[in-house]
Amino acid sequence: MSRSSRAVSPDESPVNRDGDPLSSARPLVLEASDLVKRHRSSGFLRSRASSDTPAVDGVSLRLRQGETLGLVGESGCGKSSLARLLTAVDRPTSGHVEVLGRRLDQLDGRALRAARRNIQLVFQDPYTCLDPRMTVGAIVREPLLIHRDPAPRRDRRRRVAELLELVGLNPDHADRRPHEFSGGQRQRIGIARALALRPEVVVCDEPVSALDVSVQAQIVNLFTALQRELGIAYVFISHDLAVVEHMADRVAVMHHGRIVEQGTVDEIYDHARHPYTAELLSSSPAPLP
Amino acid sequence: MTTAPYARPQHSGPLHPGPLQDLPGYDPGAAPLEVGGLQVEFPATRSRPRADVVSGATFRVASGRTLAVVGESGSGKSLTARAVMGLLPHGARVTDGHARLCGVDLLGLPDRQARSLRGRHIAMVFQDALAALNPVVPVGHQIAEVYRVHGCTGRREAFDRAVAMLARVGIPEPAVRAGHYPHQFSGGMRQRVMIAMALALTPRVLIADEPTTALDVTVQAQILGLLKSLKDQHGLSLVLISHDLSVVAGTADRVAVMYGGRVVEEAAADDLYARPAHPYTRALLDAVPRRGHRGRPLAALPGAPPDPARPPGGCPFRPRCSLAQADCAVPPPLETVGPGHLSACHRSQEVSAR
Repeated sequence: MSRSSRAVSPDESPVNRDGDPLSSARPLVLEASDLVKRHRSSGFLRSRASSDTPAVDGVSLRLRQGETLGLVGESGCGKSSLARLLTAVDRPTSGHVEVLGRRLDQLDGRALRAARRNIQLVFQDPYTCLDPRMTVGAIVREPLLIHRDPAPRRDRRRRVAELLELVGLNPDHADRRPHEFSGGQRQRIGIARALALRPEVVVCDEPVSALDVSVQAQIVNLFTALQRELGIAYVFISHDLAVVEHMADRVAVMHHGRIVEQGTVDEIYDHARHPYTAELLSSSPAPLP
Repeated sequence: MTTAPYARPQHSGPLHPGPLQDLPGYDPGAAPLEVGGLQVEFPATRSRPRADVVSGATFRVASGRTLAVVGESGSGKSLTARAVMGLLPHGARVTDGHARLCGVDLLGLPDRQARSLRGRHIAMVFQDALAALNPVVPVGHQIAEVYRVHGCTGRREAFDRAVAMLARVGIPEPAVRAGHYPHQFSGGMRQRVMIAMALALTPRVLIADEPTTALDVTVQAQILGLLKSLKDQHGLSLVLISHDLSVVAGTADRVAVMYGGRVVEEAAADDLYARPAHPYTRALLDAVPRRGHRGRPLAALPGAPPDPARPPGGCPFRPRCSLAQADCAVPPPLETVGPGHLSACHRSQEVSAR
């Protein structure tokens, strides 16, 4: 086997290209280096193998202000584990996460809570991620109760109404509960909540996968409009290559806990270098005529 | 939707399948599956009004062909399939219409006869293979049970045939894998087991309800390829139910689009994608992100699909349709608008001309 063909085997170092479509003058808002997460299995049914394979295995990525990084890969490849590390829900086994220059992985307690403000998470399933007993207004208000400074008490009601309007919901519906809303509307509620603290980065974990095609387009448009308006940076996780292509500036392909290839949309979709990327692209349904 | 049934069927002894041709209405020239005017309702209960979940589904599958039934959640596509199979969830009932298997109306048959056809001449694959398989019985025995229940073979031979079936759907080391339990298989392999079980008695018609929705794209491509090759080998007629027009694009010969419990458009796949004649189909195609549209907003449909308990009256798509006018208050019938092209819209000419 020649040396050049070995260079693209999955065990080798990732294909990393210097594709940065946005000017590097934009400030870096999120930087992760060499993130590793091992889930420790414990108890009676503990298996040896599971502690040996890290869910996230040396992931590095950077995100600039107002940019969208698409993260694609199959189930079990570590996409969601990575999302939890980036948003400091989980602590990495090693490596570090920096948001606006602050290291999330070293912070604790009050300082961690304050730093998390700048990076928020939107979940996949709009049916299970909202507390059914809370009103929509209370769900969107909750982040403002935890972080007191962005909105003083007297402004909160107005801010909640603003947020609901921003995501295309009727502010008069703030006293309704989640079950009265459709899947697409619930996803809007989740987005309003994520935006309550004006974060710089929003990590979206399969945010449109559970939605019907016609509603999916509404939510994709909402994400794009919000980015233009508020200058948010997205880490957009999805298994749907067509949606990622539509949304993302850069794409990272994840496989077995590693990023095997990273580059601009055109580099990845037209000139995939890693065999896994090529396989992924060839299996996804052909674009409609 | 309720969970798929993996409970042992309530049967008294093996079902000896009478040949299909002995049943009333059998016609060798008829389409393998023809559904007409099918209506399914959930009757009113104390907490819930009556809901017409399927209101007049009509389609047919030609011999050896694939028909895709496409629709969003709540469009009634799965309940149509379950009504055909006689597997409606508790509470739902068929109020009108027919489902003819080679001319034999499945909905009019006594239970026992219908059951002897099910699995033998028409079979179904479910979306969630883990829920549809019995978790405490090795898969080989579950497939062998199909042969046993239909009284075809003895115990030993049934198991051997099950192993042969596993080999045919591309499961490596079938003799070993036949002794494994469903949880020991990956999602894609589990779906293969389901397909093996459904095809055990080489039925005429296979209904696959979202067979690849829970699977990764690479596995999805494999399963669709498998269904296609099995269909060609056995001359099966395949009904492929999906919510995703792009998934069925490479697999289906014809596509029926369902909305609000009825079929709103049916056409040959190429024709439907190139010249949709219903505004809903047009909107669905426009809403799919495609190459070269980056940065531009997607053509999103406003609103949400109708609630079956509160149908809008008239054309179900009326509230979301940009072409809606006063006459849409009268539900448009499914009519021929071109060669082999049916559409239920008063303004189908306008839509296809665009």
